[in-house]
Amino acid sequence: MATISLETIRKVYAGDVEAVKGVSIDIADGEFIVLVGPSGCGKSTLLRMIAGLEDITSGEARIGEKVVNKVDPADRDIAMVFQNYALYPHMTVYNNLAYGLKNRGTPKAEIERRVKEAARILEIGDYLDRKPRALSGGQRQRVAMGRAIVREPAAFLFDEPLSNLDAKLRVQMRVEIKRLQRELGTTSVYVTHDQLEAMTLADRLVVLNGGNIEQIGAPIEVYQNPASTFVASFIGSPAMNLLKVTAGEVGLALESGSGLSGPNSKGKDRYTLGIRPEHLEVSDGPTDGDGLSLEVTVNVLELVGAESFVYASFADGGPEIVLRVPSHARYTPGETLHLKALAEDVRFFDADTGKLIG
Amino acid sequence: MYRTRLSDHLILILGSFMMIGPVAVIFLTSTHDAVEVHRHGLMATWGGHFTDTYRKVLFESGGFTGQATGLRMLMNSMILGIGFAVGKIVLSMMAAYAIVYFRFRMGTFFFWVIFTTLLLPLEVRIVPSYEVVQKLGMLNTYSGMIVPLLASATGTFYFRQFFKSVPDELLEAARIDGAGPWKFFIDILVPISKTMIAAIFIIMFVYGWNQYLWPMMMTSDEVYFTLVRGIKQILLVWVGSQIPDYNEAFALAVLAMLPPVIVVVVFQSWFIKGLTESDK
Ligand SMILES: Nc1ncnc2c1ncn2[C@@H]1O[C@H](COP(=O)(O)OP(=O)(O)OP(=O)(O)O)[C@@H](O)[C@H]1O
Ligand SMILES: [Mg+2]
Repeated sequence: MATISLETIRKVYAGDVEAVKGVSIDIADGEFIVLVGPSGCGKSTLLRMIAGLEDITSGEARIGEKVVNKVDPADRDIAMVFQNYALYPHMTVYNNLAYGLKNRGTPKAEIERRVKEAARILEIGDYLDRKPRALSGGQRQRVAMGRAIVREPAAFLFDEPLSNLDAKLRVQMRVEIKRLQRELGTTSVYVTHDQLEAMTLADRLVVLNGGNIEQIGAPIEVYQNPASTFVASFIGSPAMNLLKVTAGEVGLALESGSGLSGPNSKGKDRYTLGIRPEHLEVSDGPTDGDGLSLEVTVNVLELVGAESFVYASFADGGPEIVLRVPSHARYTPGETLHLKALAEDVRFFDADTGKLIG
Repeated sequence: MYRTRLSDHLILILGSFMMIGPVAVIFLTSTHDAVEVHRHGLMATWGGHFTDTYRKVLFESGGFTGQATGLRMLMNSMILGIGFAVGKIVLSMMAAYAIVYFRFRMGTFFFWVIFTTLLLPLEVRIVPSYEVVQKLGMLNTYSGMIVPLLASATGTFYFRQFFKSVPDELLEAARIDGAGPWKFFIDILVPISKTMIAAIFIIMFVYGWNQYLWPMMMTSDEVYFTLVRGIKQILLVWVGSQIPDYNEAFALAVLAMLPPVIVVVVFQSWFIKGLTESDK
């Protein structure tokens, strides 16, 4: 159990690839941190620097009170779960779990106790004598988790541990990882590009983009108040609608020329307006007041079960709008819809920097 | 699904017959006595001198000093074949380990240097090699026969390719589990390479077993004669206008064929088992 703190960590790979560009995070003891971002944004690199598998180019990493920049992975008191599990193929499940403890000179009886305990928690007790090849993907995943927990480390590091599982198993394991982490209270850093995983697992989310932190915050906070258009479009599915508008004499105008009426951003005449699909509502006609009001034509209705998504566009083209409607609602392509939203649900982003305004 | 037809069987039977036929003839001929073989040539019948000939070949001494019994030669061949295979595997695995897992200056260069030695087979460098062994005083020793042949570009190459296909995460997991370079090699890499080891063992054992020129250069002492040399030795008496002991030569040939066959049969099942079971 320990805190982890990173101070302006940078990583430059050979060939001048700057994968991580000065990242600082303070992770509290027992906290579950999720690093999320698009492919290539440096998530794995950051995690691997915490693990000690990759050298830190500059900056300082601390686990507990100890600066670990030069410490061997084995001595950092961390355990890692890999995407492809990286189980030792020639060892039985028992030995896979026990290997790290054996190398540390843990007494045999203690190893046995811990392996049995981990096997009980993860319900892999029946497979202890099998080799990894004789296990299903989900079982291998559990063994990989087991290998991490028997060590009773100060921190767990996960690099997309669920991405090789099918959708159903992924949900199941996600819940299980969360439960396990709560029970053990071990500080965890979890890398994923699946934003649903990120939202459900994290105590705090770290959204990375091109080696920089875009935003750190509780999932709900990040969802409701994305710090930039990047975060707004990355977190949430479907993503937040982003409309680049110019404030004119009457209402707002899109680049394509279509008009809409909506709340004004303080003092700016060009900005990006953001609205979540679930905050848009179909109304009978144009609405007055300081809320958002716009008129669109339905393109597609997408049924996903409990709800449906309507994809629609403005008369003059321009960006496509998504809104969430109840599953019983039926709209036909070509139909004109009036949409409204409350002023308080609208977010404003700077037209040039993309940062949240206000 | 493809159904095997009679013609398939015929082709396979013919093929096996062509391969087994000569071996059978050698074996059958070795059971006749020398005079008969001299008079009638190769035999396709059972001659009835099996125990006599094989006892003589195995236990009675030939050569000048009387130390070169068949058993002794069998042992020498065994030492050569096994020493050769084991030595080559150990050496090339360690070389490949260094090349793949350690970043040292000019690592790739050294790999290609090792690789180009493929272009220099033993026959090309036999004179300097002899010189070196002789200067080291290793003529007429087992190590003189084995050590100079141990460097193996083929082995190093195969192990290098194999190690490169092992996922990096396995190394990383082992590092986090507290395994140093040596432990990783012994605990992880060697066990998962066992199919490769089996395959290379087969090739190298047979190669070592069949060595003729090199042992002949290195050893003049009959104590070190190998089976392959022994066969030749028996036929040499032709010079003395006696009838050569054809039957004994054939018996030796059978003995010389046996161990490689056993090695292949034993390791093959191991090999296939490894192939189907291993997933890195
Ligand atoms: N060994 C390396 N040498 C050079 N560049 C590298 C190396 N490893 C990663 N990179 C680069 O660093 C950047 C970040 O890579 P990283 O693996 O951290 O991305 P990621 O966020 O984990 O992506 P993904 O979601 O696809 O796993 C990428 O641009 C990648 O090309
Ligand atoms: Mg990654």
